Amino acid sequence: MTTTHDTGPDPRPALVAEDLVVEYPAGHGRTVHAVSGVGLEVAAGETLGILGESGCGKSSVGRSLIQLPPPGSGTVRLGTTTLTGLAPEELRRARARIQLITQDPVSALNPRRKVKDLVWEGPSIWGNGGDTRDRDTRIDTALRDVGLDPQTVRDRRPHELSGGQCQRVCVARALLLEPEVLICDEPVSSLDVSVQAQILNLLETTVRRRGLSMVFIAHDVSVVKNVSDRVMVMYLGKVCEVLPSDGLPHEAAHPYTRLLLASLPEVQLGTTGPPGTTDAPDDAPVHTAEPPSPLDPPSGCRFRTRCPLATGRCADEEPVPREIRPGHRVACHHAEPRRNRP
Amino acid sequence: MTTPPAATGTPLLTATGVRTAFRTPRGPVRAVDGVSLSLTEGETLGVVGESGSGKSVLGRTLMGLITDGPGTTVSGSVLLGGKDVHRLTPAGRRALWGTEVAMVFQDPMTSLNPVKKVGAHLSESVRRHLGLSRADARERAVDLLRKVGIPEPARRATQYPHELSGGMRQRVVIAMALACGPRLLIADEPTTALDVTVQKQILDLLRSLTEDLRMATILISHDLATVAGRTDRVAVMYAGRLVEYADTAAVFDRPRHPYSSALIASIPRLDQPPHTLLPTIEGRPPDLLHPPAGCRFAPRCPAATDRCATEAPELAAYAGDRDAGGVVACHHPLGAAEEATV
Repeated sequence: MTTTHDTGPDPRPALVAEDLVVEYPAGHGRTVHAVSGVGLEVAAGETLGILGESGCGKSSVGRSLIQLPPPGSGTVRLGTTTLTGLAPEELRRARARIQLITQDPVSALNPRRKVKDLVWEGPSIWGNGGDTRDRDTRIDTALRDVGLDPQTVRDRRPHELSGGQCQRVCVARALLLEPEVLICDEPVSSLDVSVQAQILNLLETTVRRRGLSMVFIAHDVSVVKNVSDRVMVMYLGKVCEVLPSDGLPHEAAHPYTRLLLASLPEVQLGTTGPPGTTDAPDDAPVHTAEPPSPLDPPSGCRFRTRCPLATGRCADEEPVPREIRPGHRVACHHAEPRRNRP
Repeated sequence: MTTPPAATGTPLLTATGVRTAFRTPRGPVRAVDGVSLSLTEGETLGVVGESGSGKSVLGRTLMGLITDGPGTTVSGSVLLGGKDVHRLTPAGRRALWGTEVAMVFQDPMTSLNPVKKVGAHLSESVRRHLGLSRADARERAVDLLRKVGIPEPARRATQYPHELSGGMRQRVVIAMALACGPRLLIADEPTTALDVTVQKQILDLLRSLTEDLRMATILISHDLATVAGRTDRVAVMYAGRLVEYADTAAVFDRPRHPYSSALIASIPRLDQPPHTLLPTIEGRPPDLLHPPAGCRFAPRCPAATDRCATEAPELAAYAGDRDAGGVVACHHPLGAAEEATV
């Protein structure tokens, strides 16, 4: 398995993962190759976006970062602690430093508990909030920090809150443990557009203010671009491309990233003309085939079955990520740096 | 320039003052509260709104899936091919379904029977409605699958739904809806469960089918972006009412209603630099058990005045509007001040 590293600017990254492999048994002796050799690095205070469609392994990467479940092989380091292979008790302690925010905020919260108890769940387990004197003050501050009115929501249960409010509770709960890294797995995809904007703004300001590192996993290109410093594009368990997020619209070189961009509705592209007058940004490939199954990924480059640039070499030889520009790595035999920035 | 939203030609569907309310222990929930719209042949209308805005209930009421009965009150008229859907007998309505109007639902998996082959889903309706023989129906099923772009249609017809990918399943559901040549297709969130690259394919397919078969299509979506490039007109719903109803290009270029404008602004766009804070809409939609007396958006509206709190605005043509024909329900439509001085 090849490893894909991306080089962050900070010499002491907050989170490093190397050669992650996640496989699930699929019955009948078959295996789902969800993640096949993915590496990443997140600097302190940096946000790395992971972009990909369903089945590309982005959530499996996110979950293996917090060891839920641990990856089949590969290592994950949080600061100086190696999470992979830690004893269960030590791992549980270390997990307070790396928190997960999930897609469905309503099912992430125990429906029988009140908001104040949900938010205090972490400290009550970890004992670092064992000092119960300032318990209520800390809960109130945590709720206020995520834009909720403590008076109103403290004694409510999740069903009395909207989806957006539940997601705020999840964020408050994660932050109360003062983590170093926040993993957000599709945190806004179950929310309405207007609420989505509120939660994205909340994550943005929180991460900035606290200097947190964040891994932001989503399928929506514009959302990922908006919150991330760097974007990692995944396809069928492999990394296609890693690049600074402001270069995403014009500098993306991997044919799969180009396809994703070409699939975007015009409004998100931000073209100035009336909708419907423009379509794909430029020469982006338009290919209608659907992704192959992760049960039996294609040989060589996994995107070759849908790729307009594919040649015989792509079937035989797996492309090794190469740096085409500082901080921009592409795993493709044929991708060239693009210079059509307006 | 732009075609006026006022329907030209004979309308296929005319809905006037449609109201749908559900009886609940706490009082009636007015999910749709006085919606009028019309569609002509070959036209695509987008109905956009957030969750709870009544867009799906509207779609179902237009089709006659929700009718006056125990627990539900429907008033107003829905004329479809000259007949009022809500004055027909249940058998009369069934005769309309499939041939006059058909629906595509959000989740292709639950729209298909898991223990029936793909071909059987299609031949069932053509045998029932068009009275074809078994062999003719089978042939027709394969034709339909070909029409919606399914490769190897003859083989696919003998497979079960679980053997198909999500995008393929949605194509089958579209083929089912088209089986009896409906004049109106109502697609309720047809691409929400699909990946971006597949989403584009399905929307393109719906668009080309609408044109080729000279149908009218209603595309219901929470996602403004999917509606933008693919519809002729857009109806924006808020809390059971239409707030703006105009040409798609006009709505996206210069939205007149503060809600439409805020909704469009809150979509993250690819041309914004990373870490841009998104404009949000404060507050949440009103409780439909007790909607505000005046304009339903007034409590969240930055431009609201005393008048908005007491007097509900009617949909009216916007005075002096260059995009003639658009209507907006607002006492203070956007752009009024600067245009008065021109």
